[in-house]
Amino acid sequence: MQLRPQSALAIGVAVLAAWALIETRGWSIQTALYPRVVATPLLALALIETLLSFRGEGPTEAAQTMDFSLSTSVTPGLAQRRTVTAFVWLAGFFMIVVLLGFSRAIPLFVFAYLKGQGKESWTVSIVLAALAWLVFSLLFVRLLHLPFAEGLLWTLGK
Amino acid sequence: MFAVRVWAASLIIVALVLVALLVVPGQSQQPLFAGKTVTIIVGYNPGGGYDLVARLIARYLPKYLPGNPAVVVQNMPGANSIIAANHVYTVAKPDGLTIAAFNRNLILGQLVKAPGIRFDMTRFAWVGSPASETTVLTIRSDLPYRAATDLLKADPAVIVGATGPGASTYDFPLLLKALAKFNLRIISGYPSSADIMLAVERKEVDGRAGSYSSTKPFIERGLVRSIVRGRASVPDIAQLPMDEDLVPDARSKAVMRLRSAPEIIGRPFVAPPGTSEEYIRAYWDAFTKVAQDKEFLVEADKAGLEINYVRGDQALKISRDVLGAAPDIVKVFTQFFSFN
Amino acid sequence: MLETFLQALLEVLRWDALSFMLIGVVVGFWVGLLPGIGGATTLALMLPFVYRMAPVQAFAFLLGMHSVVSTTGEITSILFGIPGEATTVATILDGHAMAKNGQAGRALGASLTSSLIGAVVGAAALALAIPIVRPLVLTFGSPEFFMLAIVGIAFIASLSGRGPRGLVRGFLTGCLGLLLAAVGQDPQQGIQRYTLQQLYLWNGLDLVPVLVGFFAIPEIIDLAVRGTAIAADAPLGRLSQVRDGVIDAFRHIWLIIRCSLIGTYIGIIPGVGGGVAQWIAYAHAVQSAKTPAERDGFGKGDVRGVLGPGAAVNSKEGGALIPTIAFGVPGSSAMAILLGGFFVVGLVPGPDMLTKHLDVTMSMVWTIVVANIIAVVASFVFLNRLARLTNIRGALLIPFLALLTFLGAYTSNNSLNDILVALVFGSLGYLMVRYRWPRAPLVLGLVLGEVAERYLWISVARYGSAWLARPIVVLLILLVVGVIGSSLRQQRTLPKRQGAAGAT
Repeated sequence: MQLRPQSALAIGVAVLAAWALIETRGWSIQTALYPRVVATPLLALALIETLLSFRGEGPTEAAQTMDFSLSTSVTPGLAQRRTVTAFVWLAGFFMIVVLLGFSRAIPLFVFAYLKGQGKESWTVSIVLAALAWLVFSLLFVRLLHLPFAEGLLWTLGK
Repeated sequence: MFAVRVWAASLIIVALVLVALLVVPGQSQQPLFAGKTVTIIVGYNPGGGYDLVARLIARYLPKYLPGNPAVVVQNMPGANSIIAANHVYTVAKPDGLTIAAFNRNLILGQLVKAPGIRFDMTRFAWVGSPASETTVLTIRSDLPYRAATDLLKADPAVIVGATGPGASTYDFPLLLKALAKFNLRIISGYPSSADIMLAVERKEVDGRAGSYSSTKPFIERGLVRSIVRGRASVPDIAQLPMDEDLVPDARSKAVMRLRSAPEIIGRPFVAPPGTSEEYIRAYWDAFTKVAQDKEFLVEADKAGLEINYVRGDQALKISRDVLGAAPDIVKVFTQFFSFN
Repeated sequence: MLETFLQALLEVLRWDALSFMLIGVVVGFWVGLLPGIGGATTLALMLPFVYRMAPVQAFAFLLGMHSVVSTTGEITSILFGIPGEATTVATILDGHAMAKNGQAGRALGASLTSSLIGAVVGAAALALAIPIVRPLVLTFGSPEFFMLAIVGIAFIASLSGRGPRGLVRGFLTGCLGLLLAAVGQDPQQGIQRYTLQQLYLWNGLDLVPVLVGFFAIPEIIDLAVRGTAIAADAPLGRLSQVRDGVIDAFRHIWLIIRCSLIGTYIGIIPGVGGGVAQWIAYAHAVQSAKTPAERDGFGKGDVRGVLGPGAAVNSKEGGALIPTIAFGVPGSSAMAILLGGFFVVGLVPGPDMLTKHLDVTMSMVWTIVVANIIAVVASFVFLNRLARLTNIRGALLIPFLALLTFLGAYTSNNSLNDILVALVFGSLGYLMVRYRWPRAPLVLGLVLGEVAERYLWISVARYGSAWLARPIVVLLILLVVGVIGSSLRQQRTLPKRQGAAGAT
């Protein structure tokens, strides 16, 4: 019996379900019924899953879910590093979209990823970044007139 | 000889320049919107009435704005258009190139101090409302009720389908039931008013309240007939009894009138606070002309809109009146309606 | 009526209507392909151009565009694992898995062919059902809608995977999805539930950002980890051909027909929502597996997991036309805009559309068929080349995939908050994939939760407890029992691999 990372997910869901149930206090029956009917089994199942997860799982359990599996072609240590890196890039993209606005963030991100992470050549990085920006401007801004905010750095300056 | 020719050439050039200056009119003030783009921010996604009106206006506005700018529509949905209203109040630049279209009932939301509201309706620079919205209560045609008073003694209770609190489908019959003592049972929770019509057709509910324009196709089809209307009116339903006339006391009348108040400014358009007079008056002028444009009226009619332009200053006055309602009326009103 | 049927076909094939349809198809092709451009927004943008067209032309254009969107939406789902539209999510499970095995071409061929057949079968079912459609729709009331939602939720059992752990996790994620559906204002009293004081959450969680993040981000992360092209698992590095997929489609023709019918009838009943049809078709395809080993193959590249949703998604569009045309009740936001188009050209939806104006209705049915044929045939021309995208280095693709994901999330409400939601659900999706929690039940719960809650309250308020005795409700209760029962039966057999491995 040991605490594994998978237990953390189950415990997290159990906490969420418990919080959801607590929030329903004070609501009228019409408002509270559905959440209570759903959160109660959720809590129970999450606790069951937590307990079961302590037992660990073998290949049979792993094969049971109908969803894709993460590739195992890379060593776990490397996989871990690359996963974290990928998440950091995505979070970073979000941050620069918020700070600089889509229009500036897009070529910046494409260039930075291709050059910094992908280690592509200067030409490829610049060309693809420009291409991304071009398609974005023509299609989403000029043609569809979708609203894209300026970016915090600009609006905060006011 | 050469010197004379130079002199002559210079004189001719000066003369030409003087003539040019006199004949060609001086460069006058650039038209207000020349080369610019006007953006209409709509608080709902495409597919709904507010978006439809905004896009229709957007197609005719360039013709009547000085400088013939491009006009585009952007959707900023969320929280019943409170997000769009907040945005235009706090974030949008008052440069005259942004206007907003949002839910007519937001003024009532401000009145009952609904959470999340960060605007003051009276401080917007009002453009006005090109269309009004009338509310009617309709009952399925095969039921024996014709006059409004029939609904007082209806047995069994008439079942009215509604979407939820905050919409006219719910609010209008609620007041009729609570204040006018109609024998109604309100079943709420339908996803949209179109779903309620389907429920009427399959006899799950007996009637629906809502905007006349959205109910008109069903009335013309013979599925339902109208019984009572709100304060705002159009010729088709003018002869129907008004909800305020069906209650005896002044307070109930006032509460009903408060609910109806936004209807005359059925499709509010505003600009951010502080937008200059020049731009606002240009919009007033343009909207007035659009509302008289023949082609516009034909399309609006096809879309089922009740065109009736209420100018910005008038709309502002109506908003002030609503917000200035007597406290005891507001208290009763809040008991019925929270914008939560 | 056969006369009207054929005459409507001729109307559609007339040059002016056809040319408008072609323009619609071209527009719809790109709209479906690119996440971030939604069918509904584009329809709204196109509506002004429709004002001056005659009815047949107008609908040729609008419908041509709309029918194609679901078909091409599957392309990005298969190639990149990014849902092109909210209706093409189920295709990702097996479709993208096939792409990773180097079978992108085959998956694309299978998906487009099944979409085409689905559209045709759906249109045929529609045309045949026209006489009974009005009574059919009118028999389904709020209690029946609630039961239909429960039937849909029961399919969660089938989508959970096998064995006791699979079931526990399946219902766990299903309940989580159902709970997430409660976020927002409650439909009865408008009280805020779980909105954390955020205006953004007043209307609940928006489906598109959730789906885009939930499915696309784990794929992007995995691609980054592998450091290879998408099709890295292809045996001998050879890519399959599109025509293999077409052959697959005809080999499983009965499955496709069944899923098309599922899609059509789910589309006809307003209220249940189009996002469900793809999952029920997928679950049905899973149930058609004959052995436990076969069942295990789903989610890892079984072509039937592509055929089922492909057929249902397109046939559902045809079905959804019916409440719009015959009752004036739009089945989706795209249909709401189409309805606006009706009024613009002066047509009044209602019983007349099935009698006096039957020719217009028929021409709409034909438009869907012809538009799909054109789109599919045109796509085949360069599908094989598209499939080669799966051979490109992952690092080159990743920034563009991230871009599409972010834009896809952002443009549903033009709000940066949606990207945050996509990232949050992306992380959740990643964890769920890592710890083997099935994602499909969560999506089903999220989609069906609100429907179930609304209609349950309406049923109880309207009928008291008598709604339980209604004939169709009883039938549906039996169906629920049947669905759960059959999937439980399939659950009971576990592979003997563990034992065999232990023995050797």
